[in-house]
Amino acid sequence: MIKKLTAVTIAAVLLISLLSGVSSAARSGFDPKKVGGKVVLTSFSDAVTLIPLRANDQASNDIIGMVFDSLVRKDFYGQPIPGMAERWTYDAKTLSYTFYLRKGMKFHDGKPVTANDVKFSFDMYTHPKTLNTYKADFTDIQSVTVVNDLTVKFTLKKKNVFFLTNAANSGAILPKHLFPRGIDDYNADNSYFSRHPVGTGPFKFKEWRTDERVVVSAFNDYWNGRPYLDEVITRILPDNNVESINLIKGDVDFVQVISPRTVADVEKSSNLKTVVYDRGRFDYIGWNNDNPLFQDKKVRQAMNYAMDRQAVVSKIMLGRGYLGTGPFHPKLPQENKNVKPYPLDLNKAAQLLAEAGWKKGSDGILEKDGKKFEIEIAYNNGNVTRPKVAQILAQNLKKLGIKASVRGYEWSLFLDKQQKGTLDMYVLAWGGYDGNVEHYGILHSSAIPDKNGDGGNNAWHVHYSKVDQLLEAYLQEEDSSKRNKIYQELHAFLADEAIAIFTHHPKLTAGMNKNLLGVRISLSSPYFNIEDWYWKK
Amino acid sequence: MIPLLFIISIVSFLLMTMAPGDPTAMFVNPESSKGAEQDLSAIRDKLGVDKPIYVQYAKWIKMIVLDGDFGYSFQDGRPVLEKIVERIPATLLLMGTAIFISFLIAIPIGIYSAVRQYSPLDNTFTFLSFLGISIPSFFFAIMMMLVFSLKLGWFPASNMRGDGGNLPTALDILYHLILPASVLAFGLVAQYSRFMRSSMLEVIHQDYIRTARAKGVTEGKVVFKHAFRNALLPIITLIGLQLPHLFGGALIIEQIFAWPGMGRLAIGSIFIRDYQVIMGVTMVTAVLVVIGNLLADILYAVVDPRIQYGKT
Repeated sequence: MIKKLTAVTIAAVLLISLLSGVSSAARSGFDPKKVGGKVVLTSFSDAVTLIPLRANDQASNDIIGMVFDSLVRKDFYGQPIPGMAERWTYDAKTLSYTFYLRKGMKFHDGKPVTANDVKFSFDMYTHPKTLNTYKADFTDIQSVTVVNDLTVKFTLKKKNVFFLTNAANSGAILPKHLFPRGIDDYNADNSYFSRHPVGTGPFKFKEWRTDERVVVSAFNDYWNGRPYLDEVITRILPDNNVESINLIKGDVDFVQVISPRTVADVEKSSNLKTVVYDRGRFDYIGWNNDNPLFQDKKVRQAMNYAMDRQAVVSKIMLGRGYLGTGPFHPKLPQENKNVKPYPLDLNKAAQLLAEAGWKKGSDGILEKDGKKFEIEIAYNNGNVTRPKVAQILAQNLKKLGIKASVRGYEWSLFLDKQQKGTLDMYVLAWGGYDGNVEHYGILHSSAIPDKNGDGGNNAWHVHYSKVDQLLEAYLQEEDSSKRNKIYQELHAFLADEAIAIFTHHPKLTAGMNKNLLGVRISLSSPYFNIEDWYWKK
Repeated sequence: MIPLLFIISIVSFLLMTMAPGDPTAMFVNPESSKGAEQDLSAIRDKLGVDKPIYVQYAKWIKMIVLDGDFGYSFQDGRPVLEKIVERIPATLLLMGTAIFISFLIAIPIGIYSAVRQYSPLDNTFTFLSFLGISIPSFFFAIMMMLVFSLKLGWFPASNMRGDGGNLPTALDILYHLILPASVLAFGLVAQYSRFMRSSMLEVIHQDYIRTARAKGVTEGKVVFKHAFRNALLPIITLIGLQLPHLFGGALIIEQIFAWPGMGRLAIGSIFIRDYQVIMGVTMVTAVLVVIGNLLADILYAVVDPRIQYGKT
């Protein structure tokens, strides 16, 4: 099976390289007439550091994604395709991948890229002292050895079916010659490199003015041909409304997400267009499953029957969204199509609560063992959608005799409480995944955070041996269709257990200049093909 | 002065650390699937925020007093002082312009209002100043942005610089400066003109003004030579007190107009609980308040011969 897969991969890779003419000058379909111009993007917050995998914030990672490149890239659907490595082989017996680098690749400072740089980069990411934020993705790497200048071999400790799309994709190639002190330079918080990065990506770093903007410009020697745009400017703007004002005024060319209520204003402008796109994300109302209130499955199901998902999608999202059934996006094969969203059914909810032992007291509030059913639904201040979602649930819960209130918390405080598991209920989302989605980190019992919020991201405190088994089996299954079946099973199980209220998967709306063409937004990134964006001439 | 700063530092440190929220929360983002699986306890240990508050404070004050250092930002590890110094030009430009223009406008208004007290124009100015004082600046800023930037398209809505258009840098910055500086100036003119008016009114009713008039001095000379110079004294104090604003920036206006100054640094660091930066900004502002007051006192003695320090 493995051999067959490898053979198919090599064949596919060869075919692709034949089609593209193996020339490093330009990608297939490159049209020199599209070259030129600059585009202005926005970000709510300034970048923090531009050293790959040191940052964990979106702003930094967006810039890093333009400046750096890796051995393996992902196609629109998240499948691995050749990046800086023109091909690779896998040997199942020794658990090793051999990558063959393209000839003639250069860093932005003109120095050639060699296998030594690849080894150096992964040595940084796996170093025992590394401050790599995503080091968990790299723990399966046993060793990286240089075979020759253009060949490098990775040996894994154990099978990892996501190696190509995970570590090999996110492990950006660093210029060894700019890290003379090795790991100390990589870990350094305030280095020259962290604010003046040098990579091999389609854009080279040009300028970073704190809290104003970051500018990158086209790298002419990019192995896949230069990007069409001469410059990409990311302006730091404080919020959604200001972004929209700048977009309408023409000072900004592309805004990732326009809030539903400003869509109409943007659409009215004759210079702009909007594009509705899917993002791999799920929105939910969560709780701590260890909270005595929610330990009874019937109560959790009652909460689900009390939620009006349709109102969220049609009234709040104005139709731009899918009803939620679980933590898998409907556009992904991991979703189980047989799982239907819980309908709004207050009678059923009342019945389930009664079966769970909750009886109405003299004041009309549900009681059990002398304790009243009182909950607070939390959201983060500044978010415009979440308070409305919380209100919809709170109104229905009140009809059931539950004393429900809604409260906004400042973001940092909200995160703190959520991670520590002290919020009754909270409205949140989780996203940015594609076909390589894996939920080990948020659903496995080993990832449940302790009282200080340490130890993992399973803040909903889900712990079932069945869930653990499915999550583990998924990571070991090489056959993707079998793998997807495992998650479909997980999906059905989670829905029945009602571990949370999965409300919806929003469709997002991007706003952009009418003349900006070639934009393709993938499930995991709005800048998926930014090197192919161009201006209508 | 030193004990005062010391107390300020203790109070702000206590307020900051006892406020809910955790500086390490920014290292986890439950909304992102590329969730960092970081060892938060290791980060807490590195930042020292798991220690008791008095230990944290002792460490901080030791760093300030012995090393003369504000430490490093929790967020990106850059020296706090570097982050502050980097913001000063932008803030100085914005606040300096706003304060300077405000005095230029407010002083004539104040004089006129005092001299022609209860005249229709005085009433108009009074009305406008109350408007200026009572409109929340964030609301006024957004209104100005909507009208002058979005509807009329005269001025850019955000940031301090454009994206390399045809304007030379200085003009480009000036072009971006107009809107936020005007919003700030509107509020300041309102305050300063009221101040000038009352100061002037007080002087105008003094005996020596009546004497001057009685001597037959022209009205212009009375107003500008006799009254105005004396009425300026309190204004000088006011100028001294603007010093912290000059460097401390305007939190709300800078945030709304995405102006890369100290105010934005302060807000940003408060949101993510970057203790070192919060303390750095607070202390710089505190020092400026103290110096501003001192300066005002000294200036007072310089311009007013009646006031002398150290002699009883």
